[in-house]
Amino acid sequence: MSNTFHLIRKDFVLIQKMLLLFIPYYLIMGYTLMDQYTMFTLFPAMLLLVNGCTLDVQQNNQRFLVSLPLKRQDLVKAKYMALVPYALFSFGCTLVLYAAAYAIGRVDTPPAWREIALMLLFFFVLASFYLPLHYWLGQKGTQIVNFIFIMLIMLNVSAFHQLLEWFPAAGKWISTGSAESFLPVLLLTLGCMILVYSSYLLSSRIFSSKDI
Amino acid sequence: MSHCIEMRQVGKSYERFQLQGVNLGIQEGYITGLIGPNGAGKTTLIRMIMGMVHPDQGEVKLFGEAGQEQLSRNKARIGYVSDENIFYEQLTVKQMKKILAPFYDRWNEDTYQKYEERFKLPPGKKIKDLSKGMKIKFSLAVALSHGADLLIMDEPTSGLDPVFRRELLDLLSEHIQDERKSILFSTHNTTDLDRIADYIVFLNEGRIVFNEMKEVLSEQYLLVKGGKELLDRDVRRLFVGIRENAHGFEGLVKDRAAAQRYFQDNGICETPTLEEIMYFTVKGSGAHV
Repeated sequence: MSNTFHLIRKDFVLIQKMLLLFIPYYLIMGYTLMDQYTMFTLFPAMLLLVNGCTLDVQQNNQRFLVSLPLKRQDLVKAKYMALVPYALFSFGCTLVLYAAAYAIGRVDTPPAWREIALMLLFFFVLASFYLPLHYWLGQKGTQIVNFIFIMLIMLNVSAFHQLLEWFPAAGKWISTGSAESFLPVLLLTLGCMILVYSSYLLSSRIFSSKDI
Repeated sequence: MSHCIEMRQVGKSYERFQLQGVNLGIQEGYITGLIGPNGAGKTTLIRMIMGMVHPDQGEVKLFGEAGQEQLSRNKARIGYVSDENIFYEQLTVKQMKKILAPFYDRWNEDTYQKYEERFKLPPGKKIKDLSKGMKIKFSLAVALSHGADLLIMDEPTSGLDPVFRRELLDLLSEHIQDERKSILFSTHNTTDLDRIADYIVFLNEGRIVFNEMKEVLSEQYLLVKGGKELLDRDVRRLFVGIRENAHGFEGLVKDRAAAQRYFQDNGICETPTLEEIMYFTVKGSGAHV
C-alpha cells in the first residue's frame, strides 16, 4: 500500500505545476460559465489524469517505473487509485468556486450535490475507458487518445443532458433526490465500480504483457 | 560458483532481428562485459533481464529465481543504469531522488549524499539540464545508494569524456571489492573491458559467440599476419575472419595451438585484443561493426 502512496505522490509531484494553472482556469471559467459550475468537477480531474499518464510515457519514463522493485500490476493499481485524489481535488475546487460565487452573489441556490456526484461518477467512467487505451497504445497513441478524450470532455455539457434524457431516473434523482429514484442511482454507482474494476484488470493484463 | 543472472534458451523475435537460443550465466562477484556490434541484441538482452522486454521463449533467472513476483522483488537488489535517460526530465535531481528513494528498503541517504558530493551533482538542477556524464553519475549514485548487489549498465561509457570514463571504471573496480557484488555492463569500447572486466560475453546477430574469462580468450585466439601466398582454401577455413590488403593478410584464428604450429615459421603470431576478436568475428559473419 505504501508503494501505491509513493506512486501517487510521484504523480502529484509531476503535475504540481499544472495544479497552479487551475487557479486562473477556475477564475476564468467561474466568471464565464458559473451557471454550469458542476461541470468543473469533471474537466480538471480528467486533465490531471491525462497529464499524469502522458508524463509517464514521455522520455522513456515507463522504463524507470518498470526498473523499480514493483510489479507492473502495482504501477497500474496506483494509476487507478490516483483517480480518487484527482476526483477529490476537482470536488474541492468546485466547492471553493461555489463558495466564492455564493459570497459575491453570483449564485443563490444551494450546491447541486447530486449533479456533482454524477459528474464524479462520469469521471470514473471516462477514466475506465481512458486507462486501458493509454496502456495499450503507449507513447505513440497517447496524443490521439488524449485529444479524443479532451474533446469528449469539452462536449460533456450536451452529453450530460443527453444522458439525463436516456436515464430519466437519474434526472429525477438530481432534481428531487427522492428515495424511490435512489435504487437506479445505486445501481449506476455499482455498475461504475464494476466498470472501474474490469478496466483495472484489462489495463493490468495489457501492461503486464507489454514490452517497454 | 553461483550465477546472479541465468538465461536458458531465451529467444525474442522482431521484424528485422532475432535473439536466438541464448544460454547465459553471469558469475556472481565479477565484472562481466557484454560486447557486440550495433544491433547485436545487447540492449534487448539487458531489458529482458530487467523485465522490460518479455522473451518469446526461455527463462530468465535473477539470483536463482524466475517469475514476475520474484523479479519485482529482486529488482531491489539491482542498480540499473540505462543508455538513455529514463528519469523525469522536468524534475530536479533532488525531486527525482525523493521520488525513487522510498521504493528501496535498503536506501542509504548518507551514501547518496556522499556520492552526490563526490560526483558534484547539483541537487537543484533539472535532469534535462544535466550533461550525459552527469545523468550517468546520478544513475550511479542512485544505484550505489540502495545497496545493489548487481549493477546492470547499458553502455554507460558511451559519450563520456575520458576523464570521467576512467573515474567510472575506477569506481566500478572499487565497488566490486565486495565479493558479493556483481556488475554486468555492455559497451562498444573494448578498452574499457580490457581494463576492468573479468568475463566477456560476446553477442553477435542475436547469438552468444562466447562467454569466457578474459584471460582464457587470449589463450584461445590468435592473430596471424602474413603474405597472401599462405592462404589456400584449407588454410582460410582456420580463420574466424580475415582482412586482406595489397601487402598480405591479417586474420583471427580460434584454435591457437593449431595456428601457432602452422604459422610460427612463416607468419607473425600475436595475441589479439578484444577489439580484434570482435572485429574479425563480426567480419567473418558478414555483419558490420
